[in-house]
Amino acid sequence: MATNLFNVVLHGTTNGSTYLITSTEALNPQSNRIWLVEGSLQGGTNDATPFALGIATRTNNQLFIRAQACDECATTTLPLWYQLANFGVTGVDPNADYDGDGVNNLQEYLGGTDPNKISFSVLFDSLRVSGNSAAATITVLKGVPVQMAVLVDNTNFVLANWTGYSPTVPVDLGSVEGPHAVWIGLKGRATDSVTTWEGFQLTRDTAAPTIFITSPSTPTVSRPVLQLQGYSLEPLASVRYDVANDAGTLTSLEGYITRQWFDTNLLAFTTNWFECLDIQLTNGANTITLYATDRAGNVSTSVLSYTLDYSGVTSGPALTLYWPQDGAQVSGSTFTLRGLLDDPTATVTAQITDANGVTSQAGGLVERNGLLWVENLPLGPGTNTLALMMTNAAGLSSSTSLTVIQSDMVLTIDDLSATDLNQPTIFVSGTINTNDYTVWVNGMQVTTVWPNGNGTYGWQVDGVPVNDGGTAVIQARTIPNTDLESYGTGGSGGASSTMENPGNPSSPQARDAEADPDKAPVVVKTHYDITRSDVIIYPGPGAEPSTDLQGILYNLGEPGNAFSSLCRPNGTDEYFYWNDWSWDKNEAGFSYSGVERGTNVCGFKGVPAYGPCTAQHGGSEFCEVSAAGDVCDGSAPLLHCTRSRQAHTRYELQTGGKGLSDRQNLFVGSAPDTKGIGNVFYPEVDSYDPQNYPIAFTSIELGGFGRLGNDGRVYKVLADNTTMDITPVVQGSPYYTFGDPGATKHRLNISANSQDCEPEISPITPEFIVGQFVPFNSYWDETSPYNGSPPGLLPTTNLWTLAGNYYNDGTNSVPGVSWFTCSTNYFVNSTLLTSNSTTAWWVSGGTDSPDSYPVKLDEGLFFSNGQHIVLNEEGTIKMWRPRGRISPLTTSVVIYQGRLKFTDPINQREGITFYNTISIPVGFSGIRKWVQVASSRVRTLEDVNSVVHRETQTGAAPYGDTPIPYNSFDATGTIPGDSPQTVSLSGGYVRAEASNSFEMWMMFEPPGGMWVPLRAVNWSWIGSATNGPDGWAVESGTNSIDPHDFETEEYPAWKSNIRNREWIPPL
Amino acid sequence: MDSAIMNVMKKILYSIAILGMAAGPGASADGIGDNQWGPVTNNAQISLAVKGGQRIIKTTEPVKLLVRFRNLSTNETFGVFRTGEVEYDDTYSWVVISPSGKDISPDFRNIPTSDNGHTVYIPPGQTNGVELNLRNLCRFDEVGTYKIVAKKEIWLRTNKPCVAISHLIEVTVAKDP
Repeated sequence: MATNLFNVVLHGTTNGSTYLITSTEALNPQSNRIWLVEGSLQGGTNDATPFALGIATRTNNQLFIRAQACDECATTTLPLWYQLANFGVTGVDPNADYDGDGVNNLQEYLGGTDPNKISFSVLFDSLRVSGNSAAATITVLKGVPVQMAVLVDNTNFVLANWTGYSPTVPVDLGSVEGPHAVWIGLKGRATDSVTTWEGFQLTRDTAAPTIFITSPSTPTVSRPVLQLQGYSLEPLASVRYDVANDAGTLTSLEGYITRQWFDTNLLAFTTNWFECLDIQLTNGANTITLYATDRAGNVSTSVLSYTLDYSGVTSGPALTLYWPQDGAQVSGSTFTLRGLLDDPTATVTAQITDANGVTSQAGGLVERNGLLWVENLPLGPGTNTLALMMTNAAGLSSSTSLTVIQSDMVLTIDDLSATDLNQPTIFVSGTINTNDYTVWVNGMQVTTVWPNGNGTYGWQVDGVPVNDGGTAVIQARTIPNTDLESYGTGGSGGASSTMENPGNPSSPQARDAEADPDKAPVVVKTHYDITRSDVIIYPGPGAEPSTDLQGILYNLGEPGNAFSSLCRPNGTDEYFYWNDWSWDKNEAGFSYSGVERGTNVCGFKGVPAYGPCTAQHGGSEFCEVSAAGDVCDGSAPLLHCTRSRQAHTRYELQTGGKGLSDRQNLFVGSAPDTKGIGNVFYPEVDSYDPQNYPIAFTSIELGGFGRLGNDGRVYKVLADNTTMDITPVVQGSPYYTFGDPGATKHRLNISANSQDCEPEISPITPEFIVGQFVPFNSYWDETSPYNGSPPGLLPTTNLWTLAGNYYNDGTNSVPGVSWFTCSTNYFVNSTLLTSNSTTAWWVSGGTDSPDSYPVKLDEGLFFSNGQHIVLNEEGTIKMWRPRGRISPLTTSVVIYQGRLKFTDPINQREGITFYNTISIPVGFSGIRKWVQVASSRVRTLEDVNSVVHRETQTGAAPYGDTPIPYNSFDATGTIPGDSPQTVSLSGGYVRAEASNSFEMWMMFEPPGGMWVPLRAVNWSWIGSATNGPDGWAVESGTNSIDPHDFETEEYPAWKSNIRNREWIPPL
Repeated sequence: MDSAIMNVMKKILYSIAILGMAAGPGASADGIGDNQWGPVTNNAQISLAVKGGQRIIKTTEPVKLLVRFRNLSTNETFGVFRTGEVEYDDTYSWVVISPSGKDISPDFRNIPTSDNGHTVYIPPGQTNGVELNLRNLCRFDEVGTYKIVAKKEIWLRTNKPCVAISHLIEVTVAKDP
């Protein structure tokens, strides 16, 4: 059987009767034959009827067809012509649902509806295009498309050019700039197949975005950290920039869209504000090249020049002290000072001295907005004196001092780590040890107080207002009940709370306690307007013009997100009346454009019982196309309804915490399922749109976070206390719905010897001493507001960058030779710096005060969704170095003990004695060790035959003067000395020479650590002797006299043992 | 050291060995018994002992000896030179006879000495000492009893040397299993 297409003619049939057509492949044996229903035919005609087998499994060459009179088959089977027209084959199951719309094929046939209604989704590469063409990808949701058509800026649907269906469609937009209406239509096989059109607005945009810079407003700046801010008149896909100055060039740094403006006239996002944070400037010229990319991919390049010049700075930073004020009584053993500086780049140091004279120092944190925090200052009993020193980048300082009195009353605030500080008001509790005072919290009076039975009282209060910003200030204040019945003076009454004034009343006898926890990141829906308008122009019974506002999200960011449809029954064509440029819920200024009414195009055939409009009147109701109320088929209009859908939403991420220019954290953005709208007549994914379809996470951009990974997550390093637009966008589609995005914050801390060393984490910088092994580690902060390790984290790469003179490895200076013979040369092993944790020891450090060294970790994070992030963490350690001193005392060259020798036997002193001192910083310990290395050594003996015997080194210079460490000490074991000499001078020789050039090192070794060089001294001696009649006598002798020592960080090095030598010729 | 001197030394060894055996039971636990001093020379004496007391030393162990110096004079300070690497000091001379009777004494003409050092001054009536590992100078691979005598230059204030000789000690070396 070469084809399954036949023509059949029924003879002898009764006109009007129905015949069941069945087929089988074999008549014998009868028991095995199976007659399959192909469909039905009407009797009474001798015309040939096409007949196509729909059973593909028939493969032999025999086919038997049977026609049986079956009048009831008119309503139980599908006619052959119907099957061929709609499905292309016969034998289609009448009970199946070809297009999956819930109505089976037989019901579709009997009801006169299309059994192959198509629904589909379209995803463009982008709705904004920088060229003449766009590419669309079609996903069929229901039905089987056979034909397709594309219209651009053309609504003559009747004359559309239909071609065979393809899931990928090139769309030619032409060369005209601006919006273009694109319609994509699909339909089935039948000539009267219902067409499904979906309309989109694509914008041809070949112009680069226009950028405006709002800050800084002048080309000369006086602060070394720049916050660049500006805006674009159109939506931006990204902002990146390069910075070139004396420090070098940094490229492709990332800026962020902070906010978008939705123009309700244009129905589009227009102005995009952006900022590039914490740009480090150097003195003189700084060039910032800004690259702004719009959503069509056009890039504008702006070259911005800023000169950092301190000459206009004439005074130190000015501080507005927020809390505590001078003379305040504060409860607790620590407190955090708050204030506002007029220079966010100023540095602040604080020194607090308690009543016993104990002094502590701490550094301040200054935010981008100038907020100053000096955290965890110790507070001793009585009066504490606090001195603040503030210095700007120009080197000008200012200072202030105040007293803070530790309260005799105990007032505490319970832990707030589990409290959502992003709420406008919160619940706060605590304790107080008196009932003579009333507690106020941020202006809210505490009325719920109970005795704890131990002399303290618990208290709690709800509705405590929380200030704006990334850090919450929760201030508890006690007011004596005798002061205006505990009301004191002033106060906000809980109406508001700010950093400057939390809102509590004041009283001379007030006692304070504050908690200043950082807020967790929060995703804020900054704008949300959703309107679904069903306006009934010609109301039917019980129908009233209405505007229905619902919590439905629809469309983001592109024009054309409002449309209306006109519905009408019994039409064979349908389209959406798409209002592509304006919308008003009151229809003011309502303007139709785009789709026009065409020949025989009367309106939209609504799906029965869907939507408020048609639901009130059923699927048979129809709506007029025009507001004038004319009806194309002449029947009276029963209903004219317009449906208008519009929504837009903006989400912002507030990163929380303190906005420090050097603080960044990892944020993980996430979005719940995003669904495409299957039937854009119902432009929301809800019960009205059962045809919704999933949109892949990877098609979604979460605003400034960028494109989601396949797990719905996206990773980004962001600054604290900033705002970034994270409104989800599906670039290639205007029709989708999504839920609220989320974000979590993850902080990588670095520690030195298990002590936090990042200044914003630990106010106390870890201190070490040279030679001490310092292990560095990183860990994810588990405490609020951080969320531990980020989800989906794979093994990391690491690069530690340490400052100062440090080492982390060593190797023999002569490969293969033992340490005792050759020195160990210490070096920085870069491979060890790429481990998750690393250890080093320092040689450099401070003697009067410790040197501060930055510790940096660049940790490369790889995630299971394929994304990659590099975190840059920076901490500080302080390094001490003992103060050492060598004060050598030398003698002279003599003949003593039968040898030419550098010594003083009369005064019982060595040739050189290395008197020394060492001062080890308090809190540390260690020992001195000594190493001596000879750069040259000469010993000769001239025998009676004038043969000069020379003791020759067989190893390479310099020579380690073994043993190492040095072992010739005085009786105290702390003062090394040396009396170098010749061999015993005997009568067989007439002349001898000897000399040495040495360098002696004082080394320091802390317990369990490495030795490090502190001081060194170079010294030498040279002498000769002759053997005369009176025996051996000094011929000449000189030496370095009481040589000076010097500071050194250079390790001693030697390549051979000084005893590797031989006499040539032998003695 | 020429053969004539060696013969003299061997005689000395023999005579001191007899003295040493007589004095043996008086040895203290740390090997520094008072009765183990060598003969007095110019008011100077030295003693030689195995560190840790008389015991069997394994072939893999260092041969650690204690050498002590004693100034018996009443008015003269002695000077004893001590090198940094105490073994490599040619102000010593050693007589070491292996169990098989072979002379394995170190010859400092062939052993470079330590290049640094200082003089330890011993006041009248005082003692001083040093610990050293004789395995750095001699091979103690043969199992059995070695006989050892030390000689040390001790310099008088007059810049004149005397050579103090220790008594003979026996060091038994056993194979390390």
